[in-house]
Amino acid sequence: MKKIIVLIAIILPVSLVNAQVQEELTPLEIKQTTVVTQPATLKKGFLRAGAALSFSALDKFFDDDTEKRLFPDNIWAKSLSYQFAFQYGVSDRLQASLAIPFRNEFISQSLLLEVPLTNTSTISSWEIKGNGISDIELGLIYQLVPENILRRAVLVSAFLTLPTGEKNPTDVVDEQNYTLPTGSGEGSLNLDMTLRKVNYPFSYEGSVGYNIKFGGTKVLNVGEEPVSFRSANLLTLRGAYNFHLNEWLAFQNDVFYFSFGEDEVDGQTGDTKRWALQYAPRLSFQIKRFRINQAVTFVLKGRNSSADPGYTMVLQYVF
Amino acid sequence: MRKYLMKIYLVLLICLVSNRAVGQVGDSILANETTLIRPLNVHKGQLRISGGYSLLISSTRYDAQGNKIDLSDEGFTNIGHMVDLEFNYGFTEFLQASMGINHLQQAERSRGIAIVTTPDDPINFNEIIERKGWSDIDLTLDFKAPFVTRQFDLVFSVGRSLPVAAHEPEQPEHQIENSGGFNNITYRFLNKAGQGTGAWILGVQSKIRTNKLGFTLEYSHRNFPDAGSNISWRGSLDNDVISYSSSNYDYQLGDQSRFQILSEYQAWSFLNIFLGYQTLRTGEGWTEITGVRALVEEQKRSAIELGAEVLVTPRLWIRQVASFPVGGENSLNPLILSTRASYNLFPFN
Repeated sequence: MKKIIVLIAIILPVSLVNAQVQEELTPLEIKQTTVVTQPATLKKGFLRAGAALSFSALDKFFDDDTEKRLFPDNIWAKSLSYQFAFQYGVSDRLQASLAIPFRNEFISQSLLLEVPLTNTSTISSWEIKGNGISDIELGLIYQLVPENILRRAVLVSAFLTLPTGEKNPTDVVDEQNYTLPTGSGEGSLNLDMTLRKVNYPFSYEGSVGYNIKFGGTKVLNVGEEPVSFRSANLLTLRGAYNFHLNEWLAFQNDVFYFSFGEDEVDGQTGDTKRWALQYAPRLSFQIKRFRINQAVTFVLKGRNSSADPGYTMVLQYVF
Repeated sequence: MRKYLMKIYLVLLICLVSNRAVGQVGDSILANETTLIRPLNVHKGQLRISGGYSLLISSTRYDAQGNKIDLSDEGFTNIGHMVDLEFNYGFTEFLQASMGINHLQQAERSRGIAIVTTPDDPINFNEIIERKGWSDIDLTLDFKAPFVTRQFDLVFSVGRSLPVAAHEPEQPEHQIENSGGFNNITYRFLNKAGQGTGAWILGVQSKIRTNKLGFTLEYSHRNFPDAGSNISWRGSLDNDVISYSSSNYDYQLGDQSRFQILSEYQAWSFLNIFLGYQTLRTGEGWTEITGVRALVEEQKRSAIELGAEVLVTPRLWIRQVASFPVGGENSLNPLILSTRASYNLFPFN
């Protein structure tokens, strides 16, 4: 009996030590984890730097009856935005972030004007562009329920957007010759709560967020005086199901539901109901500490919202 | 009865074991193949299912002399989305059957026309030509030359494009709205993606490989032996009501040929980078859409392709290509960004 007790006493600690060794990763290994296996927030002292590129073109929209329609006007608009983002682990449970976005906007339109009375016809083609810094975003993510051995975590986050981008049209010559603004002209605060669970090779996430707009004043129509405005607040629900295709490539599936409130212009509230349901499949390549994410966002359904897909590429490196 | 059941059991056991063995053999074959050394045909018993999405953005067109014209100068915009699906199955190591189909959604907007007859009643016309729907189905048989060496591959293809997809345009739609002081009339022409007539397909593909490099030459040709028949819609305004009527017309599509040269570099076992050039030519055809037979001029377009293929697992790979327009005649030439995934299995072995 004594021998058995001694044997158990030897085996038990050894078993525990093994279990701990399996769980413990070196800092370098943590830096090389994928979007599926990475800690819920960056470890203390880690810095993730990245650049992102997004592209979309104006083509279709969902109307008030949730029918997908093509924009009727002869207009060609595309939006290219790129941003530099930095995330830093203040502690093992708190992550701070900074995103500096830039926008490159382009709109072109052409019109043939015929006036039979004077027997004249004129072709007008114009291009309007805008390029510059957009609204900077500062953020904090905190592990309210820290990631445990079952790899579950509850995260709360707050992101503050500062209206640093140009909010008004500039270099205005007339309605067809001016520079597009690259900022929204108002600050906003996004509060979010996320539940995350990792069950290798899978991870699941669910989150709810609310974006509060602070409003401001800006020129809404070229040539007119600035007016006060406040964009619609935004409720976001998100579900994500991610899994590894192999050791270094993860496939992410995000489904978003956006519900917009009402815009306010000059004290008047609109009555346009807006919502959108989006699906964003993503591929995330993890090459040591370097990561490439690619996503295409498809708008599955919506009401008074864009129906155009968007493409995003993100490059990241953990220091 | 017992003997009978025993025989069934033995047969099932043999099938199960052989199936596992062949499946494992199939997997081991795929596990040893990088993108570079993969044969142009699939293996015996191998089924490959490929699907992808492409974004097509046209910002330029080329005139008959090959001059590049910015579409925004002409007031045109053209954007498209295409989803494609392809199946390949290997009957033997040297004979493969392929089936391909795609779904296209494309919208072309032309310059708006504003007509001011009286200052109080200006009219603004917009026109959208939409092409949407499934394409015809391409069926081909691909014969691989029985070379022993892996350094060189040669494949001949013969097939038929089946005109199963809808090709007759739907009745156009219009919309009248009053905004900005204008009566805005928008016409939508709803075309389909089917060709309306079958085509014979002939092709040849060859590939030369070294340890790290590969060069592929491909030529394919489509011949439309028969003239097709379609309908065109005309609208007329009568008592403030726009009504539509259709009429039949015949047309003959010109032969289509495609030539591609591709050089590839196997950077790592899982990553293949490639650079290519391709040119597409559509020969002369004719159409009687205006009531008299009119020539449809030859069209050409060429592009440089840059892309990469990532071997995710031996069974799954992802290919991304950006195709940049570099020249053409009488045609639009879109920038194409495409992502395609292929999954491989041995289902019947």
